[in-house]
This record gives sequence, structure tokens and C-alpha cells, in this order.
Amino acid sequence: MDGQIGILAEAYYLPPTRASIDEVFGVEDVPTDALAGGLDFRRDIGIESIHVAGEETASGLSVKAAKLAVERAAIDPSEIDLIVGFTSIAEDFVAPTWSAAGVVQHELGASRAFVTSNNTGGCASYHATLSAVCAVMASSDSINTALLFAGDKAPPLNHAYYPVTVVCDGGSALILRKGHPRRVILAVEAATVGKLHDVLYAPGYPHRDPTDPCANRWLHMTGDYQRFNEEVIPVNLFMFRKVMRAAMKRAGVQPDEIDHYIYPTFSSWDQRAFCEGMKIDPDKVYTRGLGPHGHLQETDMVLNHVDAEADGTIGDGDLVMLTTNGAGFAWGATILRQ
Amino acid sequence: MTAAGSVGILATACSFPTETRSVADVFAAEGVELSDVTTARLGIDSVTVGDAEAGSELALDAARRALADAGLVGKDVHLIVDYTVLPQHFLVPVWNLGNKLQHELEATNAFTLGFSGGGTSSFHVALRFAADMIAANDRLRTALLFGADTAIPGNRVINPDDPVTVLGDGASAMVLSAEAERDVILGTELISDGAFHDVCTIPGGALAHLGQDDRADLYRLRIDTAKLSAAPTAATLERLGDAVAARTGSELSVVKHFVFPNLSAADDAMCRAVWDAAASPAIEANRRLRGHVQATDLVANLESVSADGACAEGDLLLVGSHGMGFTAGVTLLRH
Repeated sequence: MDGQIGILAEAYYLPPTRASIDEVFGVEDVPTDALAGGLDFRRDIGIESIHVAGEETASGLSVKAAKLAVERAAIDPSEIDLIVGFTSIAEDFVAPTWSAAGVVQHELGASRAFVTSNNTGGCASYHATLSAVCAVMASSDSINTALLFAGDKAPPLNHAYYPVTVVCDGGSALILRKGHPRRVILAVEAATVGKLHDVLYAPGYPHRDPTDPCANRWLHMTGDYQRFNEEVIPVNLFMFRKVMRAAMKRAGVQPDEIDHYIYPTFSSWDQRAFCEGMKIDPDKVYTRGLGPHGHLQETDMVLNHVDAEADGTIGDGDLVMLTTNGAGFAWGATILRQ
Repeated sequence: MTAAGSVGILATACSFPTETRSVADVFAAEGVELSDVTTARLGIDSVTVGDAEAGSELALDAARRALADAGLVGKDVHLIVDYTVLPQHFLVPVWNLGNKLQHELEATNAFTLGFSGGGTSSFHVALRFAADMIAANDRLRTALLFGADTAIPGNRVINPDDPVTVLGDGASAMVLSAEAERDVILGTELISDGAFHDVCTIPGGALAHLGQDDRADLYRLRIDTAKLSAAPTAATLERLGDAVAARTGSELSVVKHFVFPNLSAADDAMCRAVWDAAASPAIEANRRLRGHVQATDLVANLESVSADGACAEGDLLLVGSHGMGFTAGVTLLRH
């Protein structure tokens, strides 16, 4: 990046109510067919429980995470110049007409900010948004502090994304500051393969079937898993390699210099395939979040980074690669110097 | 916030359905009384009407024509940015039309962004982010911006009990480039007031009111007119205009053309009064013919005010929108 931008603070919020993976499978319609390689989705996924928002709203999850991040940053919300959401699933109201960014601004009292939400990238919206925000900060003398946030609440009966993952509810936020010397953003790369735009989607209200016994299926993540297997999987590692190499080239670092990888907590087999396919030492990939909370969309990037710092896995000066893919389909890679 | 001016609009294109429907017919179809007072306030005679699913075709047409006018092909595009306001074919943000456009245009070197919540001001949001991304990244030279808005069926009169506007259908696209020699973006100023985040919303169709998903009447765009009337829209526009002038070292007194959305005649008059701008016959003609087509209004009106040599090289153009009190934007261009 031109000019130094660092992550001043980041935080996540997980609602207190938990559901065991067995409880999720007990109420949701999850096939029992064996996956490729004899894997059993229920038995082998590696997720033990998730958090569920219950009565909390998606924007409320964002607000709680944003307040925590502001508190950790020890700043006055009026210092924030720009607020950008990067939530990737259904929100309180229909996008792109509405954005939760206004709620976050209002609840924080971030009175001088301009606010919006990026609505592309799926779980890789973290990178697409980070790239856009860093560019605005680099190009403007008046944008010195930015808040990015996400808040994900799965619709009822839609925590299991068979055969990919089981999703958790929660929110995350990070505060960027120009000139901050820690967690310095060295490079951000994003790529999209548009031909895969309709492999994963949520149909939306106009596609509602009033005779469907599952009342809110029109809001559920819907996948064409034959195409997922035939078209996404074959390019997945290629695209990871593409964005990671581009980020390393831009940051001027070599693969063996990367100390840690923050990677999404989809499933045990996905993490294994990433490490094997990319020839990365599994000890360098932070995977501890998989069991206790499963996958939290784009927030995986923030949550796992926060936890890896908190438990001492990542230390000052370490070089960290945060990378993920997402519906759309999109891939992203970010390199930080701690 | 404001953008430094080094990027310009290389080409624009709009695409509208060929069918128009009179406002009288639209009001009748939606069971809304059309009074003389409302007719005068709106200043809209007809709206462009397409199939509710026409958005992607209109967007593709606008994008292809804008790229052709710029002498570019899909592979030349490094960034695609969506400034659509109304719901798309599938639910946003899980799905976004920008990715489909990337595929259709074979823009294999691009990645996609899209912005929610800004209403018509999403035009400024997209312009600002794209311009700054081009300015900040030497590998990102060309961006394609687009918006495609088709009204929810039966939801063209906003709002039936106190009509603020009538929605037409259409799409637009802009090609931004670091190499553009005209329509240079001198600056974009944006400000939001989160207290007004819900002035313009669709109550149903997402997580709120999930237990009432049989209430099709909740899947309607609504404007909270009482709240909107409390928003300091004119004062905010004036402040943003002063800010963009100050940051870019420009004088608003020499701005030759002012471009506003086609919300209504009353809204146009309010916006023009901020800068004592004269009425534009070209913009009025667009509003009367097509109604309000979200951010595409601004692209169409920009095209119209600069058509047929009406805009001289070096002329300043100011594009403004109040975003229903939530997000306001002002962009200053040099033709």
C-alpha cells in the first residue's frame, strides 16, 4: 500500500446462546449422504457448536462488535471518518436499498463519518472492502480513521450449509488508522470469477414459494453443489494461489517468510485440503476456532486474527497472511506486519 | 470526504425499456388518486416500464455500449462497481449483479464491488471509491460502474398516501479511467447521518418481519416522508458544495451545469435553489419522460446537459443528491 495504514483495533461479538452441532442437525434438513473420500458431513466436519443470535438483530451484532472495537481503540467515535459494512448474508432490510452502516453510525455517534456497505465478495468481502477503504484513505488527507464492520445472523433453519460448513451468528469490526505502526497492511488482493455468480445465492422474496413448508427458504443460502464440485473446486486452489502470490509480490515477501495464515473455519477437510494443496505447514494455519464456533462468514478473518493474537500465536513483527474465498465467487488475500 | 481529481469519466451509456406508461395509468393501476397538486409537484408525465427481471439485460446493454464508446473490451476492465439501489434478481449481498456482468462482459481481469444504502447518492459513493482505487493503485487503470433499477411490481408510486416520486426502469454505466481527458472528477464530497438510515427502506423481504412473510405489502419501497421533511437536505447539499469547492480550489459561481436526480419537480427546485441554478430543459424533459430511475437519473442527466456541444471544454459541472437525508453527495467535474 502507498502510505502506512494499520489496524488500530479489532473485535468480535458472539451472542451468548450456543447450539451444539447435534442440535443444529436435529432441526435442520441436512442430507446424510457420504461426501467424497468417504467423509461424513455430520461426523467429520470438526465443528462442535455455534452461537445463535436469537432475538438479537444482525445490525445489533454489528453495533456490539463496533462498540467493542472503538473501546479497544480508545478513540472517540467522532474521530471516525468512514464506516463501511462488509456483511455477506441477509440483513435486517433488503440491500442494496438499505445498509446497516447507518445504524452503526447512529449507535456509535460517529457524527462526522460517511457510511456505506460493500455488497460483494461473500466471505471474501473482508478483502474487497479493505482494498477499497485503504485506497480511499491513501488518496485523501481527510480520511484518517475508518471503521469496517459485519454482522451475520443466519435466517431460521439455515445454519447448515451442506456440504460446506455450519455457520455461526456474530459480528466483527476493525478500525484502520493512517500511520498506525502495528498490524500494518502491506498488501490486499481480491479477485472474482463472475461465471460462478449463481453457484451460491439466496433467492430473495420475489422467488418465495408460498406452498413451501419451510417458510423462509427464499432467504436461505442456496447452492448448486454439482457446479460447486465441478466448477468451483477445480479453480479454488488456483485462485488462492493467484491472490496470495499477488499479495506477496506487492508486499515484497516470499512464501517462507509468512509466519501465520488466517484461514476460514469451514470444515476440517477444507482446512486440510488448503494446507496440502498449497503446501503450507498446518502449524502455520490458525484453525482453533473451528470447533467452538464453526464458520462466521467474512468475520472469520477478524475473529481468528483476534484470537490468534490473544492466545499468543501471533506476536509483534510476525508476517500474517489472511486469506479466504467467498460466494460470487471471490478470493482475497491480505498481508499484515504485526 | 473528498477525492483528488486525477481520474475522469471516459464514457457513459444508459439503457431504458422502450415502453413508457403515463403517470395517470400508473396511479390508476396502483389504486392511487392523482390530484392536480400531486401532478404539479411531481412534474412527471410518464415512466419507462420494463419487466421486473429486465435489470441485468439493461445493465449489460449499457455496459457494452459504454465500453464500446470508450474503445475498450471487457478484458480491459480492472474493477466493476455496482451502484444499483433497488433489489436485484437474487438477494444482495449474497448475490450481486456485478459478478454476472463480469461473466457476460468477459471482464476476467476485474473484481467486483457494490455499495448499499446510499440511494441515488450511490452514484457518488461508487465514483469516489472507484476514482480513489484507480488513483491509489497503478495496476488498476479502468473501472466500469453501473446501476440497474427496475421497480418492484405494483410499487412505482412512492408513497401512495403522499406521493414523493414515480419510479421508472432503466440502467446506466460509466467507464472511469486514469487516462480520461474530459469529465475529470475534481472531487466528491459525501456525508451521512445515520439517524436517517430508515427513511428509504423495504420493510419486508429480509430478516426484519420474517414472521410476516405472507405480507406482500411489506415488500414495497417506502419513504418516511415525515422523517424526510425533518432532514436538513438543502443545508447539507450547500455544505458539501462549499467543501468540494474549497478542497478543489474551485468557485461554485462559475459552475455551468447542475445535475440533480429526477425525484420530482419540487425536489429539483429545492436542489437548484441551493445554488440558485437555472432550470435545465434537458433535465426536465428526462424527468417528465422517464420518472425517477435512481442513480441512473444522474448519468442520463449528465449526458443530456452535455449533449450537442452544450458543454464546452473546461466547463464545471456539479452533480448533487441528498440521499433522503441519509447519505448526501456532491461531485464536481471538469468537462
